Amino acid sequence: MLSIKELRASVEEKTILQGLSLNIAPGEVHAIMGPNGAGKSTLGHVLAGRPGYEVLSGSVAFEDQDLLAMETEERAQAGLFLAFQYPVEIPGVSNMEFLKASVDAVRDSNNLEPLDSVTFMKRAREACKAVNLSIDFLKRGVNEGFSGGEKKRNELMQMMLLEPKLCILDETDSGLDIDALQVVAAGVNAMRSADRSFIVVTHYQRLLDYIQPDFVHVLAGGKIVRSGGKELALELESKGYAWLDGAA
Amino acid sequence: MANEHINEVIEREYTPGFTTNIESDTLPPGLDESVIRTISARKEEPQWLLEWRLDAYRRWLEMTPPEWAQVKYPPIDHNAISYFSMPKSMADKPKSLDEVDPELLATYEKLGIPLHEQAMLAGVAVDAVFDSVSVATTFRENLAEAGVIFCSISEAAREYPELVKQYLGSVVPKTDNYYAALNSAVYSDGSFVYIPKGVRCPMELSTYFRINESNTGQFERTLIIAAEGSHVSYLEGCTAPMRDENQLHAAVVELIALDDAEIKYSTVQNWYPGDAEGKGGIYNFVTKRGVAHHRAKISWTQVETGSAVTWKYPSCVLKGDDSIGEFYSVALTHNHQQADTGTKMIHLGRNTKSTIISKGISAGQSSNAYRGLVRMSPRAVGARNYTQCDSLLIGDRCAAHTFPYIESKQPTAVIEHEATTSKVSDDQLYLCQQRGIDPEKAVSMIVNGFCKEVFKELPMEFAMEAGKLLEVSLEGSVG
Amino acid sequence: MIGPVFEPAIATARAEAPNWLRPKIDVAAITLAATPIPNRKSEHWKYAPLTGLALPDLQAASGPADVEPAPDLAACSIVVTRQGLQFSGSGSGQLPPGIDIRPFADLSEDEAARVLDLMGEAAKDRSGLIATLSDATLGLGYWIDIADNAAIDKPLHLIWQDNGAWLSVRLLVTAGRHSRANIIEHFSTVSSVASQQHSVTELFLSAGANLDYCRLNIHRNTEVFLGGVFAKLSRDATLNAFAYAAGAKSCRNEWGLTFAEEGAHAELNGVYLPTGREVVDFHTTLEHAAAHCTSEETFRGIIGDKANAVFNGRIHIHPNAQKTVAQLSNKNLLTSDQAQVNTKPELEIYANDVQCAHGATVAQINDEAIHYCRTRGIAETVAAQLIGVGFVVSLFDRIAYEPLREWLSEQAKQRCLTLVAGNTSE
Repeated sequence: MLSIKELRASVEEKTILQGLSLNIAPGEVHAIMGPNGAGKSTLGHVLAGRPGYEVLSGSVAFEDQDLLAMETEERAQAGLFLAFQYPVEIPGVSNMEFLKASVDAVRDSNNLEPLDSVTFMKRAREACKAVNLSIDFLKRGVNEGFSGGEKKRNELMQMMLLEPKLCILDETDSGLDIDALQVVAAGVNAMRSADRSFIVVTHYQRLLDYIQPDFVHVLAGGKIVRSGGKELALELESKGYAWLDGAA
Repeated sequence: MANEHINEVIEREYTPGFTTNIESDTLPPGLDESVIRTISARKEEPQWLLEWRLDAYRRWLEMTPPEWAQVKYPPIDHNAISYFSMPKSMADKPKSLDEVDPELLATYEKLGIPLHEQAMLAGVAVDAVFDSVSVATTFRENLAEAGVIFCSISEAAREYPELVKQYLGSVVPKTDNYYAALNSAVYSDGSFVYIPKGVRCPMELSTYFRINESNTGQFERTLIIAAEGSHVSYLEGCTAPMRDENQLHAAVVELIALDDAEIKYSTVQNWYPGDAEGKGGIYNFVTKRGVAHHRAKISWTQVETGSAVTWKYPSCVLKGDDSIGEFYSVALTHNHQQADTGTKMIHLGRNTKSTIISKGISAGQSSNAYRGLVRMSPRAVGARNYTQCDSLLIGDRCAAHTFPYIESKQPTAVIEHEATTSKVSDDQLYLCQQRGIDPEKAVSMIVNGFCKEVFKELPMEFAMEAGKLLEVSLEGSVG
Repeated sequence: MIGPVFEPAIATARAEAPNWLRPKIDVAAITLAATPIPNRKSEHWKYAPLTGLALPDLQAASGPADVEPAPDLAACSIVVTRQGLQFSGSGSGQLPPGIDIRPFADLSEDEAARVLDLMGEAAKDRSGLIATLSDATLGLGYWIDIADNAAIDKPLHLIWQDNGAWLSVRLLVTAGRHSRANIIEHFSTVSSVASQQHSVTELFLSAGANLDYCRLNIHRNTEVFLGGVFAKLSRDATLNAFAYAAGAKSCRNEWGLTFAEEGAHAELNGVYLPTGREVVDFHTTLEHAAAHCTSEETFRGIIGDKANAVFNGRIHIHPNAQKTVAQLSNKNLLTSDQAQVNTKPELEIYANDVQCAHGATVAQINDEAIHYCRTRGIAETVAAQLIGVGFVVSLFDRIAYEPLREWLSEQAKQRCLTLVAGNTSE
């Protein structure tokens, strides 16, 4: 599904990723953990193609395509989805209008007809329900005036509608109370399937109690310094990240 | 009920309104080339400076006074003004404070700036300008050690002609506007500051200006040059005695902040505002402008409570990339005072930033206008401005205006402007009174709260003085 | 002086006007003869001066053949030309009861006297050039009278047209006590050659009247438009006004709303979308001359290519206008390196117990928002268009009449596509 080789990337002339490699097979859930400033969010943005994030060397293959050569929207159309840590507000553009444009664009690139309004609305309502978001949110401006938790659930709702192949969750758990966290986790778990993969970026082990990862990676100093099963997350929880200073 | 109280609070005499009884050497009123030659000769100026003045004068003759400001005053008879006044005892220039006319020093004491004390206690160097001649400059030696030049501009023209020639009129061209041209022709004295490369000026520099002589126009000129990486904070305070007739004050201040330099210029302006009927008072027509080079910062802070008419727009030309301009202003008008004040932020360089915080307080029958310009030139990629101008009205006979000009030719520049108007409400006064605070104190508290964002930009001693000044100026405004 | 520029138009107006109107034309002509052409030094014209303005050839007639048909808004649509009124569209083909529209030429002596009294009355606080120009060059003059208590649901959609390169129109609307009506004034390019239109509309709202008024300026870039809307609101009257401008080489509209009696309320919203080398200029003044009145004004614009947008919004609170609540907001997006905006929200306040606020912003389309859209698979241009429409759409929502709202939103959408095209080409 995704193969990252020796990826080095910089932001504002500061090199953040220093030779990161990672392989993800279809259906797998990979958790990426690590201290603040390790480059966790940077990885998500580099994969999604955020302007200002410069790839210095290395390669990323996404289903045999050269991901780094693709435009941001082409990556999304190919099935890569990033759930933002801080989703931006777009005043005046209704959530519904935005989602329709998005779903249609993704379908179009896969040679599918645009959804008719009725079907689209039905799916949008279902997705809202699944993340416990009132359907009134469809009429409001994209993230406009949403609370932190509402923004996160709105991200998840979009993910459900777009049915991506690779979902990257960038600290989706931050700022969520335990109830909201469970809603998010249930949404993710419901989407798990044999041909869909996840990268769950998180600072805390807490989320992984609800989303069981197949692999846990520790990102420090811009590369993966340790990989293991889900037990690694528990180890990190008890030991913290301080031991990394010696290890890295 | 609340209103009656407010009125009682405002009636109060102008404290610095006394005259000093010393003999002056004053030119007869009137303006022609010979007056300018006389001024220049008295100051032993180089020939180029005389030519510069004469050129300004000739151009001034062809100019007309600006009419766009929201102020009304009768035409000024420039031939009824004397353009040069020098205390007689100063003719042979005192070398130190001990040589200064004691009555003169007593004047400063009444104003609350005893030179010796202030110099010692506050560590402030004071270049006090009495009418047109700089009478005493303290802490010269300390400053000299750091390489800082702080002297009168007349002295600078003789001692540092290269610097003066290079920078005089470089920020405010002599024909910039009517009053700047007049000042260029007849400026009498003022301060000159040069901070060498990398030097952080060891103390706050301060000048108190004072107009004493009747029928005298004061035309001071200030030039501050902060060389690369240097830093200076300059304080300016102004008071004038009570006179029935109006007096003209047309000053020019030029600031040059070279790469990475920082200039902070603070003003507390308390010129005589005229009496409660609007008789007398200073016409304060001032041009202040600074140029900021790469990464330099110019910050203007002003507290304007005096003058019958104020016409003043301390501005920043943000020429260098990443340079910063700031303007923090409190303008209070009462009785028949009129103020039209604000700033211009001219963004030329990339990533330049400017902040404008303006607080206008109108009381009595006064008129208070904010007039500002924010201009983003096509080159100002990534530039930002934030402007907030708030008006507070006290009483129902005053006026408050806002005239912000916003011009952008650069899509990546971001400009935000906000303005609000409020009044000191009866409910606020009532609440204060109910908690045992008298209305006078309450108004003062509310006004001080309104101005807090600006006061915090002032150096400590000045902030206290400014707060007090507002209190005094507002007396009788509860009405 | 500006008089000579319009000499042929003034002569035509004088020749064609009814007798009672001639003295008015003459007075205005004399004023114009002594009025300098506004240049960069004229405060109210500094960002869009009239220097170089020339009158088009009055004889040049291209015919309305290639004029885009006005949209069918399911309203009472009337095309107004020199030949008279002509009903169009799917409307009923007749005026609803309670509303009357009459050309100046057909007025009785009493009616003419009344119209003469009213002309310039709503504009009188604005001694500006626009009203004088309209007086001097007046070609088509109409008076719409709405009867007291009339409740007219179907909007009157007035489409001004002429088959020449020059059109100068004057509309007077008197809305009776407690009446309710909706008027859409529609200006579009009438000629394929260089053309010019002048239009002054005066709205008189009697006590309790409720009027929706929309001015559409949809032109081609060969046209210069100079116009004004002046309204006078009596006690408890409500005006909901909307302005839309796009396409003209130069389009200036002055709005002057006077709150003459207590309890009046006005909402004034506007959208401008200039591109190419277009100039859009709005000068608005709200005269709060009475206590307890409220106003809310919002203008937003997206400026592309080499276009220039000018917005000057003045709120003037008179000394006795206590308890006024007045809000003004102007927001702009620049989508090109060479576009420019000049905005000046002004407050002039002579009463203390008021709530006034204004705000203005200038920025470009938020990069982060574009990026967010792209991560959802939406192409950059489409994203910019979405965001651009989103920026102005909330104003369209304030138009109560749905067919107009829908149609304008669609216009804006198409326009936004052009506006953002240059932005994303890099």
